[in-house]
Amino acid sequence: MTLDQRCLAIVGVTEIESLQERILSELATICAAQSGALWVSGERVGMRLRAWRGMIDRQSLPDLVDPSLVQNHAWKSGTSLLVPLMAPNGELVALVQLSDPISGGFADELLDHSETFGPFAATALKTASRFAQLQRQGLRDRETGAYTLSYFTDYATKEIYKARRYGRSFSLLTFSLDNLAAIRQRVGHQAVRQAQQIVLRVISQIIRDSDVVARATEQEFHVLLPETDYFGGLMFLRRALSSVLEEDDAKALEARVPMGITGGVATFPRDGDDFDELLVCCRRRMDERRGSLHHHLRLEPLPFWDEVELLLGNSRSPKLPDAPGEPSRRGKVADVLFEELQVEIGREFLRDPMSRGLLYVGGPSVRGDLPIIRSLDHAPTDFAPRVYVLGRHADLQEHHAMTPVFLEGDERLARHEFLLWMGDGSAYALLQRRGRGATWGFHTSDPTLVEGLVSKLQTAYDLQPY
Amino acid sequence: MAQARKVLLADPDVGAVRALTKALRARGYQVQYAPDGSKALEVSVLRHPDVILFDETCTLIEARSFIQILGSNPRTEDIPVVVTTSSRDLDRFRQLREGVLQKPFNIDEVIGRIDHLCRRAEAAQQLRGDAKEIEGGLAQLPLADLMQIMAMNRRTGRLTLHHGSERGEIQISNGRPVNARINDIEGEKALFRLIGWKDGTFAFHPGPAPARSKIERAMEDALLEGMRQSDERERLLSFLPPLSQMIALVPDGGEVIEPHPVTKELLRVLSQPRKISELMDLADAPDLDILGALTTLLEKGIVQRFEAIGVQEAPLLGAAEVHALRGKLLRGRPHRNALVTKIIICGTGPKAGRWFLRSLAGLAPISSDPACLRSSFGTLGTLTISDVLKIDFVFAPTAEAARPLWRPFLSSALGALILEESEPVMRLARFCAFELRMPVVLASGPASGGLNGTEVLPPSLRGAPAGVAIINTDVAGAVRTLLVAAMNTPNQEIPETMVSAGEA
Repeated sequence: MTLDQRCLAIVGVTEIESLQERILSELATICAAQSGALWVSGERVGMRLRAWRGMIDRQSLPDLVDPSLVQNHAWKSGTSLLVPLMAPNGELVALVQLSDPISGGFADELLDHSETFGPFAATALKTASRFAQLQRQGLRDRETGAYTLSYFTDYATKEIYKARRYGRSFSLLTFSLDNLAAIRQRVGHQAVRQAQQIVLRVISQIIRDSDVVARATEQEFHVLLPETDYFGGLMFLRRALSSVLEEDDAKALEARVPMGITGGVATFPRDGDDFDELLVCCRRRMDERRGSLHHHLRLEPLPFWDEVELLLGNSRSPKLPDAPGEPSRRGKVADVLFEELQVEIGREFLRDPMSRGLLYVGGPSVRGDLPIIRSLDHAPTDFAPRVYVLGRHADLQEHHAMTPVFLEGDERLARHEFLLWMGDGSAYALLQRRGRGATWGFHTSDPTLVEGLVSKLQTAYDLQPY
Repeated sequence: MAQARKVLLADPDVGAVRALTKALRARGYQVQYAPDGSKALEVSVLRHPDVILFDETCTLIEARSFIQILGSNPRTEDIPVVVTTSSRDLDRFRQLREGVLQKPFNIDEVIGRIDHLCRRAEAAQQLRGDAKEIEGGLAQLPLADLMQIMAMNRRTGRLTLHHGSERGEIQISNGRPVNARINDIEGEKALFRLIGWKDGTFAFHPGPAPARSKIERAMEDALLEGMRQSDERERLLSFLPPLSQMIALVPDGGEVIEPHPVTKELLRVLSQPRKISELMDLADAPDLDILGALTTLLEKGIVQRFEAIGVQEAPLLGAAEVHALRGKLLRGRPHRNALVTKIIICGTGPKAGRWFLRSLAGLAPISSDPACLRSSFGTLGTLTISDVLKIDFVFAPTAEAARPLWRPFLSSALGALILEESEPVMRLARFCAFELRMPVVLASGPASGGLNGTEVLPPSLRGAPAGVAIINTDVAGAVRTLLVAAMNTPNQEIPETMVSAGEA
């Protein structure tokens, strides 16, 4: 392909994501460069890194480039070739950095070639950006203002491609208004529309610019959170659900008929490799929430310790209901389980110390010889999970990998031990009471139940929300 | 020398001519002189010198025109013309076939150049006219000169070359290279490599032209490009390890996003450790591009000398497999060098654990008496696969009361190794295979220490989405099968043959 043909071909590309990569690829081919990066001017400040290829170290690339540092013509800097992409009117649209020339250096004539290609690439970028804007405007649902499912699916497919290419993660969230039929029947169609609008309004208020909300069906909404891990998705879900229920309009509607709002999170790549798999995972997690003991036992209004007592019960308590979600068990537990779990969770954290996680270990006293403390003695400095140890102050002052929370004179804490763990995609809680000769306990992997316990513990002891 | 060689010096600077004339005569040359281009042309036609040194300050006929006029006359077309200049800008003369000499020059060097041109002219004389084979040494007659002679005389045949233990061949048709071979390499890549040979022997065998041409360049063009590549290759080789050095991918070398085609090819060839010379032979790209890409890969730490990789004692996975597994484990996660992952062991009682600790070579127990041997829950030991990859083996509790522990503690595992076929163990195995969708390997016979005697895959595990296999050779084989299955994409099931091999 000649340079002229490349210039003409690039102007015909209208899809912004593939265009950015194509520009980089074409310039790398023209200049025989093995690596390259592209920054594109945004609506706000600076030029943002949009694509990179080859053997470039991502960490060494700045996310933002100051346009005032960009020259008007292609120039060499060290071993790199920098090519500003200027529109014919002189507007700086993007900057390309090419490096690792296959022949060891960039010949001078490549400056001319890249400058010939530049205005075509800049024009194509401007056109594609306007095209994407128009596409977004034309793809909104008229009733709610959310994107349509077709646009969302298309967007999610591109996000999967990007996440796969650049090794990132993103989260897909699904919200469902389960009681929509009951709302329509009892209050009327206007209330259905109102419920939909409340959910979308609240979600739209808390999302970032890069997040996308879409209406999938009458009762289901999808949210895509780019560059968000499972924990981030979970935080968003929790914030969205509580924000919806705190809305005045929602409270008024709930007083008449519960909206039955529920949600699920799935994260790429750990929960699925394509949009359908992620959606299936989201729906499975929604089903788990619906089938959770948390709902079956109507635990929502109970404070932390009341819920602990109810879940723990005693040997005469009625059998726990068979919930379809993740299992929960109650009964005698091995005396060493509490210690063994601390050691194993500590190891689990150390296997992947940069993944987020949350652990609360509560008991009569915070001692330096607690298994969790010993197992995290060698935690690295960039240890990401947050570990809290709660209890009466014994001999531990501080620890680099955890936060001791000293609670003096708390009778209930003195009688119980608990362990609440939220990891990457799973959750676990153990509540136990030590007695003479036997330890009575309750443990569960029901994420909704664990999240509820964590949330109530945070409220009970004024701990920071995760 | 049977007949004195004749050199024409065309230069208006009498002082420079005088010094050179004296030295040339002392070496037995016959020197002719011309003060301008017109006179030089006249002497060239009448006396037919063996070599002409033409200074660019000559008047009446400019140097390029002079060369063109001589080239267009059959009587003088074979006379080599070297242009001399006082200018520093030698790039202007890049297109000249015999090059340029910059003034002031070292007399010995000029005489050396004239000697060389005369020898080449004599060789050409020898080749011209007869069809017999010719042999010689490349030290005396460099390949570039030899090929120019072939081009001038429009020869057709095979030029075979020997350099140490290596053998190459260039096929020539009407003075144009049409193909070249060295080892299993053909075409331009082979030609450019052969042009770099400085010593060795050659033999020309006249014969018919090959039917198909794999080189589309003219001789002049091929030689210029070949020599450029040869110089660049020498420069790059001076920075690289010796060609016999084994190199391999660095397991934690990071991912190369949409690599350059040459880089991509190198990464493909380096799926196993190779010598640099092998790499140059196996990759299709020109040697220069390969060395350029390899230099970058070494600089970026994506490839390294093979001895530096600590996988030689770890027989379970090769360097490329470790690289692939790391890539899979790091997907969507922050990059870090040392990775620790885990494999679930499904079995009950301390017997299975003790046997496993004894049987898997290199497995270091977590402590002198791992607690999981008593409770059947927890980490048993760690296997170091390489400097950057370790695997923990974790016992999963099989009891029904322990079921809430399954998903939180098992979901991040690479796969599950089943050591027994009891009902609780199989229930856990089904959970791993179908709920957590991880590969499952059922160890039997010697691979399970005799704990499991079954020889067929239980129906309850058949059709597991991430693959299932039964292995009855040894425990290392079972672990390796699991690791290989885990490094493949979720859709790639363990091949059916693996299952039948285990069953056999």
